Amino acid sequence: MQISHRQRIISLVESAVIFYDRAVKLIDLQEYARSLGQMDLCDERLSTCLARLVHNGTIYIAKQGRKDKFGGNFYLPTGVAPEGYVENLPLSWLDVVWQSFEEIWVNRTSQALAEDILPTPVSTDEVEAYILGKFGKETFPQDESPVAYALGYLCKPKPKAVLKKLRRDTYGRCLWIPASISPNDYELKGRAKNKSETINLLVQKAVEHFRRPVTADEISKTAKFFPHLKMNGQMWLNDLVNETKFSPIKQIAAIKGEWYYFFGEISEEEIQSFVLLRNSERQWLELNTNETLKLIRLCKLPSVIFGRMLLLKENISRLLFDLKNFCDMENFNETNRFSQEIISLFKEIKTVLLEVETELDEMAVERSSLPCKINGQRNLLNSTEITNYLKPFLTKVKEANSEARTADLIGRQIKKHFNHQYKPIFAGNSKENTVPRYLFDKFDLVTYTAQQIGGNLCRALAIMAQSEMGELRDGRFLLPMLESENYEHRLGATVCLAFMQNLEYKKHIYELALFDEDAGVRKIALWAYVFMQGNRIAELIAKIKECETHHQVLEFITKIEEIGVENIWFI
Amino acid sequence: MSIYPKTETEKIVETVQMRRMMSRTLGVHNLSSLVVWVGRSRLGKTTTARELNKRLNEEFSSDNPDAFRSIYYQVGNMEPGNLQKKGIRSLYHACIGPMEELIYRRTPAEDLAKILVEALKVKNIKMVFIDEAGNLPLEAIRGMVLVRDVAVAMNWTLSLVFIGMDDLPVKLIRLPQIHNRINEWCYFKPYSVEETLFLLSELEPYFSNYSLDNQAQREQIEFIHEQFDGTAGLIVPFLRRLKNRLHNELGGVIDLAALMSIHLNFLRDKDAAISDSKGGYTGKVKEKKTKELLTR
Repeated sequence: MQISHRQRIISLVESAVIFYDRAVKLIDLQEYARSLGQMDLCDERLSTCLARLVHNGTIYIAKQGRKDKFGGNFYLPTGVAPEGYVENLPLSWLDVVWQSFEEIWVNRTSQALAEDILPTPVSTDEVEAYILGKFGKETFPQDESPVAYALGYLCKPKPKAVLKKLRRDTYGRCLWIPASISPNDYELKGRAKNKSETINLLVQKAVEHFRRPVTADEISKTAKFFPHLKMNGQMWLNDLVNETKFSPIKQIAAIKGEWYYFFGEISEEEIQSFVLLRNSERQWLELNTNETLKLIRLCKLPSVIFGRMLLLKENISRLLFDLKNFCDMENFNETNRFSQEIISLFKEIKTVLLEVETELDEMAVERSSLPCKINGQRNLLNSTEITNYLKPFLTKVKEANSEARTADLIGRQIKKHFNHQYKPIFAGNSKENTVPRYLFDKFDLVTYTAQQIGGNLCRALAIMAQSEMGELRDGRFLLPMLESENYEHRLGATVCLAFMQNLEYKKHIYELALFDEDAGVRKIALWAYVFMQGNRIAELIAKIKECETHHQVLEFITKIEEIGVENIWFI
Repeated sequence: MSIYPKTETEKIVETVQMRRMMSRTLGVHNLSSLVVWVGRSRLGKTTTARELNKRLNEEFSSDNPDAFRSIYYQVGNMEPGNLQKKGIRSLYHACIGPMEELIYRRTPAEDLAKILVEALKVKNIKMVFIDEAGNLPLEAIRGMVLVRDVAVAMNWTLSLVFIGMDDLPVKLIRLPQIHNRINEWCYFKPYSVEETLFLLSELEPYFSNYSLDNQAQREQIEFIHEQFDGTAGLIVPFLRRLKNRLHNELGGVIDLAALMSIHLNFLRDKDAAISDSKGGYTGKVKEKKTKELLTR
């Protein structure tokens, strides 16, 4: 027997109501028909047919909904009472959110009641997770942050505020409570009520985590572990500084331009200990002794190895001296929270110093010809001199419109040293009298220039010199190497002296270029003399031409003459 | 009397094979060749390379325009990364010295090669022996070959001698760019009976009067040759063991039985050690034995 389309729709509604155990919507019917394989019922005729059936009174609208994803009317067949079929039906997305919130809140209050505590507010994330778990991902509208918007809408006074927002938008994620709840009926457990409290909590957590005063950066890092305390943007840094005026947060000290903050009580003595500890730790890290020792051991020139070891020893001793002085102070209290760290750092540095000293003692070098102390004086240039030096060679420096820009271009490739004569311009001096804050190392400058513009030979020698010398700038350690029997020592020393550009050593290089037994050394000595802009270049070349027989040196002279002594960089 | 063994200077016996390999390597040097030295372990590849390196450097004279220096070094395993650059840096470290990390990172491979060649020119280095080259990945070898190519372009002769076993030959022929540049393959063979006799007579004076015409002496030499398969690196320690017992236990006389006894002694201990190790040797006395001792 053939069943009419109308009859099929009626039976579809009936069976769908039984299947879903609630009043059904148009989309429910479509889905149900699809699941039964009755695809012909899913088309647009279904809605028309439903409307006719409602008009006829065969089915009726049990509940009216809004026109969104959750909207649409809920239908029931005539004769079925709405009781038990229309309760708890979300009418819209707003309804879903509100229902979910209500359920969370009921759970929370009952749980709090059982534990005899006050309930905590609900966060947006919690509502979102609840909806996701209950209704699935497909429930979510395509809009951006639908849960937050819906919750926000529920807070609006018109038509009626059913929720209350506890924090402002600028403070990360919001917390919500029912509007009817009074401030005494909930508790902000671990959650801040306002900006000030958030910052206080954050600093407190960071200090607890690091067990010492913390920087703004460290506070930000800590915030990542506490999402409800997350601060938006960079503006909070200003707030942090403001907080130090009124709250328990203290601005302890600035170490290398970075401020440290502390939460709670800290004595002046502890602050002193902390500053010393941080400074010493920083210097200790900068020394990077393990790596430096490895590099020193790879060097070829024994006296330079000795010099570099001596320099390292002096640096470590200086650091140790400050720590020792502090520990020996009368008011040094071993119970303060940083004293143990200072003592352990002291012991660590002392162990390394002993290791360096032992290695120095065991070194097989002729000490009589070597200085026993490092000459700390370096050939330093200010940024104007650096710019003038580099301008003829580097276009990027030529085009730079300021000396500060030149320093930026160079980056860290030329080591800068703090000028101890520097006084800030606001410290009572006029701008004209100020001395530069940083000075640049000339040896680094020359090797940097060689690597930037030099020919292959120049670059190769610059790399050799850089690797050999490291931080050592005392030419006295190179002189004994010029008389060494090993050609590599003479060669290495010549190269290093060339890049030091120290006029004192020109004479030695001149002699080496003429009389060394190794042709390679003679060639490099000639290069070095020209590179150092010796005042007797023409005379030296003429003399070499007279007595030299080795083809390599003679070829090199030809090359110099072709290219010109002023272009020695480009060989 | 001191407990310590007397310090001895290393004695290198130059065998015919060694001489041949040296001469073949030097023969193709002027072509800026890649030379491969392969062969089983302990056949004298490293000794030959060190000896040739030593001679080249000892005989170097600045006055001789043909003279050059050489470098011998052993490579280790290389971690992944820019292997071409790592190969060049390995050569740089061995020949010139350390290179700063920053420079290494910022400089492209071809520039590093140019810098290295220039430094080699300064030091007059024209030959590099790269031992245990089997450890090197193919890309690292390519980096080294790049240095050689750059050297040729910069009018500098540079021979690279790759020494190794493992899969070195297979690895090298995998890339035609490398394969076709190898101008000499030196295969180290085990020594013959005659060569074994020569080696023994040079290393231990006792054997200096030995002749293969004498039946008893021939048996002894053949025994040593057979047992060690003509491997020089294994014969030398055997000789050391023999020398230790020659005066103490053998009364200054060696015969086949004595040689066999020394070698069997060595083999017995070796087998026992290996079988114990395979059986999970723990160093504890077995329970059964302890019980036996207790009941005794």
